[in-house]
Order: sequence, then C-alpha cells, then structure tokens
Amino acid sequence: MTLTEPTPSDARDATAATGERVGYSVCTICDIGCQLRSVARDGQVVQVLQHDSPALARNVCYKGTAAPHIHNHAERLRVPLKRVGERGEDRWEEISYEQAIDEITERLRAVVDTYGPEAFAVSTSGWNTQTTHGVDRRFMNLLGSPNWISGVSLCAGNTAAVNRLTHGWMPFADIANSSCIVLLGHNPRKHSWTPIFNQIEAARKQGAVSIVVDPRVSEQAEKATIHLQIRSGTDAALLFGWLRVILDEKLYDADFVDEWCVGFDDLRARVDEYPLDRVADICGVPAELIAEAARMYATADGACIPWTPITDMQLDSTSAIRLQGILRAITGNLDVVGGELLHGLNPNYRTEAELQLHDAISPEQRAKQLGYDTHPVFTYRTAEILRPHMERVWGQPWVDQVMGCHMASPPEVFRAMADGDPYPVKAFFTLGNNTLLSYANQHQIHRAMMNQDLIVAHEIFMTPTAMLADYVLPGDVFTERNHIADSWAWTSRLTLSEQVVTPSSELSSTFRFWSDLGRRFGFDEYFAWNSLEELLDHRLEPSGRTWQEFRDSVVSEAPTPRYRKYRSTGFATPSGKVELSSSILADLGFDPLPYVREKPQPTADHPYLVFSGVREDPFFQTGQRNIGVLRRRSPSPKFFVHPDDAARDGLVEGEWARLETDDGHVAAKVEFQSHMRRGHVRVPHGWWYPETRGRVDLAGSFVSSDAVLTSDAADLLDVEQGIPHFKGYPGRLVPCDAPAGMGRTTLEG
Amino acid sequence: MTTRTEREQRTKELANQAFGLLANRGLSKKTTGVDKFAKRMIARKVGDVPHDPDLDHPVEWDRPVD
Repeated sequence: MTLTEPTPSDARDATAATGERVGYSVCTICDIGCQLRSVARDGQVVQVLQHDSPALARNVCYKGTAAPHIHNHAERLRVPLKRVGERGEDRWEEISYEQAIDEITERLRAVVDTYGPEAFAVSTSGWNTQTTHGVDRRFMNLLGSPNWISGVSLCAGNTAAVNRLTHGWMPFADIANSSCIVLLGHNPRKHSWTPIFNQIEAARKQGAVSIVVDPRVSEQAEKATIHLQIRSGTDAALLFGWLRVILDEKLYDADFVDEWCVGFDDLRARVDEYPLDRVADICGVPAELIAEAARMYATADGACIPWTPITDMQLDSTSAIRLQGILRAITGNLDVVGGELLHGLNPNYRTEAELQLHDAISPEQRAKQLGYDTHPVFTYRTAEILRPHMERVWGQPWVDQVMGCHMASPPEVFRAMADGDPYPVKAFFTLGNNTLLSYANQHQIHRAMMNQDLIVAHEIFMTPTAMLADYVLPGDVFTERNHIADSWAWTSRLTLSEQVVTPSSELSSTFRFWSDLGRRFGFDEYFAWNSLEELLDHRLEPSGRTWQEFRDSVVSEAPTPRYRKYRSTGFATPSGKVELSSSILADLGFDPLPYVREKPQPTADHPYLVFSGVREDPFFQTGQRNIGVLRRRSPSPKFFVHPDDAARDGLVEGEWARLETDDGHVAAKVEFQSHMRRGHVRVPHGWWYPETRGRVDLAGSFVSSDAVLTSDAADLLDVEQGIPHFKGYPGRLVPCDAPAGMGRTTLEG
Repeated sequence: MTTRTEREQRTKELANQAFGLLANRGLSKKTTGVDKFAKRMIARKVGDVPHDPDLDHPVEWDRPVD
C-alpha cells in the first residue's frame, strides 16, 4: 500500500471553504524552531504572524516572515523528476510519485543485493525537514544500513554525543535565570538564533553579565562585560586557562566534585600543563583578562555556557566541548536554576530514537558503520557503550539528542562513495540537505556523488546536490504538515505545529517517503501508520491523548521542571558520575583527558587565519539564495577583513577577491571590518547562485562555497569524532574580477 | 556558583517549578479558569509586543533573483 492520501480530516475541513485559516506553527526555515502563527487563504500560506502569546511574540525573525515567499515560490519543486541527461547535466522528465517510488525501490534493491545494505547511505538535515519521526533510521535499520549522516555532525549533534561522555546528557542553558552567560564565538542576533538572543537580552536586563570569546568584535561582543578576542580556534586552550584559575583559586564546588565527579586529580595534573602565560600566548589575550573572566564565570550565582557551533568545528573539538562540560560541572552549574539543565525525555511522547528500532540492525552491521573503528564518538560504537547507562538514567537504551548520537562519519562515507574504501557505497539519499556544500572537502563529495549507482534527493527547491541526483522528489514544508515538535530531545517541551495548507499528492513528507519505501521492501508491519496523524497518535500514546486531543488543548507544554535529578539517578555515564577523565574515551583508546592540539598556522604565503562555516542573518545553511526578499538583504558573499590587512594586500572594499587555501579557492566581495582581529578572514557559509542555473555549472556551487576550502585530510580532523577544522586555517587573499556568469543581483546588489 | 546554599537552591527550584506550571497554562488553548488567569499574568508581566517593522519585507524586493 502507498500513502497517497496526505490529507487528514482536519486539513480538509480547513481548506474546504476559501476562508482564512490561522494555525500555530513551528518554523523550520532555520534550526531554532520559533513558534509562530501561519495564515492561509485559498490554499496558500499568505502571512506569518508573531505568536499570540506575548511570552513568545518576539521569537520570530525576517526569515520566518518570509515563509510565504518560500512556500509559494515559483521555482518550488512540485512534481517528481527523473534524470534524463548525464549525471549533473540538470535535464529531467516529470514522472508521478508512484513511478518514482517504484523505480527507486527497484534500483535500491539492486544496490543492496550487489553490495550489501551498508552500501546505502543517507544524509539529511532534520532542521530543514523538521522530522522524519525516526522512520528514516527505522527503514535503514530494518534494511541493515548504519550509514546515516547529517550536518548535525558539525553543529550541535556532535556536542550532544560528546557531552554524553562527560555528564551523560547534553544540557540546555537556563539563560533566563542565569547571572553569567558565556558565548564561545556564538553570536545570537535579532535575526539569527532569535529566541536565544531574546533570552540573553532579558537576562542582561535583570543584571546578568556576559563573557564573549570571539576573534571578531561581534554584536554580542559589543555588549559583553568581558570580551576575549582570541585567535581563531584556540577555545580549548582558553578554557584550560579558566580551569587553571578556578582550580588554583579554589573557585570550584568542592562538595559537588567530591561527591559527583571522578578523575579530578588527573584533570588537575593536566590543567597544570597549561599555566596562564602559556594560555595567553596561545590565545593572544592578556592573562589577567583570562583570569578575570574565569573568576566572573566561577563565582556567578548561576552561570551557563550555551551551546555554540564554534567548538563543534575544530581540530580539538572533543576536548573543547568536554572542557565546557567540565567547567559547568565543577562550578556546580549542572542541572540547577540559572545553570544548564539536563531536561531528560518527555514521558508523554515517544522519542524518534525509540521509533528508529536500533535493535533491529544486527551488531555486525552496526560495526560496519563508517567511522565506527576510526572516529567513534558519535557512532554506534560509543552509543553501544552508553546503552545500559542511558537506560538506567533516562529509561531508554538508544537515547538520542539532536540526532547526533548514532551517526556515521561524513568524511568516511564520502570516501567510501568515491573510492570504495573500505567498502563501496553506491546508493545515496539526501533529504533536506544540500550535501554537496554542507560538509568539508566539496571536491571529494562531488567525486563521491559522481560515483553512485543511485542518488535520490528529497527537496523543496532544485539544489546543486539535487542536480546530481537520479530522482528528485518534492518535499513538503511546515505549513503543510501537522507536527508536535520535541526539540529533538534537547529539551522536554512539546510544541504544536498545525497544517494550514493541503499539499498536492505529488509532494511527500519525509514520513510518507520512507513509509512508502518501507512497504515496498516488505516491512509493512513496521510502517503500519496510514497517515502522519496516526503516527502522532502513536507517539502520544503514553500521555493517553490523541493528536486531535493534543491539538485541541495545547499550544506548548513541558513537564514540571525537576532539578539536580542526578541525586536520585546518578549521571548516565559508566561511573554514574561526571567523568572529568572519560572512561569511555580511555576504553576507545583515546586520551581520557582534554588536551590542546596545535592548529594550522599562517605562513608567509598564506598570511590569514581563515574561519568559515559562518551563518548570515538572511540565510540558513545553503538555503534561501533564491528568495528575493532575503537575498536582497545580502546579495553577494563577503569576506570580512581588517582594513590594515586589506591595504597590505591591495584589496578594495566592495570589489571581488579570491581566497586561496591548500585545498581550493573561492571568490567573494571584500568588506572592511575594523573590528576583525588582524590576520583573520571570515568566510560565510553555503554560498551558491540559484539564478545562474543553466549557465554556470551546478549553479555556481564551486564559486564561493566555503566547503571548497576545507579539508577532510586525516591530520586535519578531530581525532575522536573525525570532524574537520573550520576555525582557523591558512589562506591568502588576492584581488580578482567578478566570477563569470554572475547575475545582476550578485554584481550590483 | 560556590555561594548558593541548599535553602537558596530549593527556593529557586520551587519558584521555577511554579513558573513552569503557570507557563503551561499560559500556553494552552483553554481560555477559562486557571488558564485564563495564567494568560493574564503573562500578558501583564511581558506587556504588549508591538508589531516589529523589521519583520516586514520591502515590496520592491519581492521579485525574482536575477
């Protein structure tokens, strides 16, 4: 059976007349999930409104209010496409959804029969697709493939996995009640990470101080109580400096350390390797200022280090993330008001991890997960070690957070796709994920995709990645589906998102796509839900409510908060305590203590430290460059450089320059930023030029994309996770002409 | 954080638990009884949130990217 009817009764009611419908929405245009209201008229979303609760009304940005421009865009994919030219030629025929699923099934079966199930890999961004309700992994686990990757391996998901090593859960900062907020390169703004920005603003009004660690004088740095303008990529060293001060001056919570931490003496010895002068020298910041910040953090009445993407993308990412965990633990800020909360699971809602059926895939197949042997921290290998401890504390063995705790290693998946090393991967599905531009070493990813027998893209627009596919299936958007958002178990809050527009039958949700594929593979009993609403009923079953009942009564709800829960459960680590020295890392053969790795340094030929992977307000990741009302806010990519550096290199503001690294080169316009640290260049993430489709190869995806610059060479990966280094690698800037084929918006805007 | 006593911890926890209960009622669809009270409390505490013109998109920008 195929799920050909994506129209639940409530949506039919909503659109039966031509009247207006207003529904609560959780926005998916970026990763924050702001709560909005969507207005639909005549079967189209026409407006996005601020929330009607004043508590949430400020949590919306101009990307969110652009939803009607995105969801109704003329170039939105509406019909399944099948490749008719050579791969990447971008020539298509329109086919039905049914035909597409039939042919995809046949071709995927051929790959699995020839190479084994591990030859099938999937890359997805849950931020963009909002949810699969776990049915993607469910299908893969039933099939026997462990090779699921995601952009969360570089952004929040890997933090979740690393946090579990230290204190068994990824906390969520209680900014609203905090007295001291530490932002490690993180720069929440009015139109980026908007709710976090609003929480920080509110906390400041109540007297909270903030410490910003950033090579730039960012918007947050301008408001900071202390700004530590470090060299890019030296966060781990800085945190060692803080630890040195906190231990030397006994500013830690000795009772908590005695009762709830293991490895303190080992940590103390490691910290002693980092005297403050050495730290100051590495970071390029005065020792006195480092000490002042450490004291401010350690003595605050409730302090937090909210999640940051910056330490997710560094050569010693695992250490930098662990050092944050260690700091929050020894200063007594774990699971306390104003500190960082270990929310746990919402007992009223089945988790995606539970639906994913991780026991259905055999241990032998799990062990084939790419990265399992080499960089295991966010793979099944670590999840297997943690399984009993997760069950003990959180009640489920395969708990996941932010999708990041059972992933394959992206560089290894692309290597297997490109070269068959260590085994061939020959079928690749990409959902809501412009894979080509979303990981390190874009050249390798391109080569990998050109070596596939089958590529399926599930997208709302034609992306460069989709152009390389055999089939492109049009996906739905948040105004077209019902959902209960659970923040991917980062918090325990449940939030309603209502369908206000009925999608056409040729569009599919990720749920429908995976369910139809599962049924064709004979997994009917595991894909028994005939609609998304039936699945929501299933997920809500522990609460005793149905989807309809939830929808009729709740906008957003969370269990009553409980604090210091570890006192009754312990921590979900092997010791049951906060592991300052990680027994899991030791078991995996790694250094159990954090450390600092020497970073790539500028050279005479490449005098800049490049930091890439930086978000711009109008866009999320590689998206929205085709949306007029957003693109015109930032018509072209820009390198930020200090004017003194620019003068030395003959760069002219507003003119184009080429940034060259050992791994590639990209072009962007130059923007002088006197607040940049000298010798640094900032590169925006994810640029391509949808308007050049048909005249520039793959719509200019190799012209300005930062993924061209970054390496996935073994010596430039974080050892434990295998993630690449985006925050400080050598490059040089040279003036150049505008790239060929650019349009008016880019050149003149 | 080394200065908070057990009593202070518990006081803060209780206050935030109460706030959590209130927030759930304030974000329900029910508009009577305790839920109505909670919505009024939140409205009083936060105040009106006026429309933010930064969220509007200039009409002249709503054309294809060329």
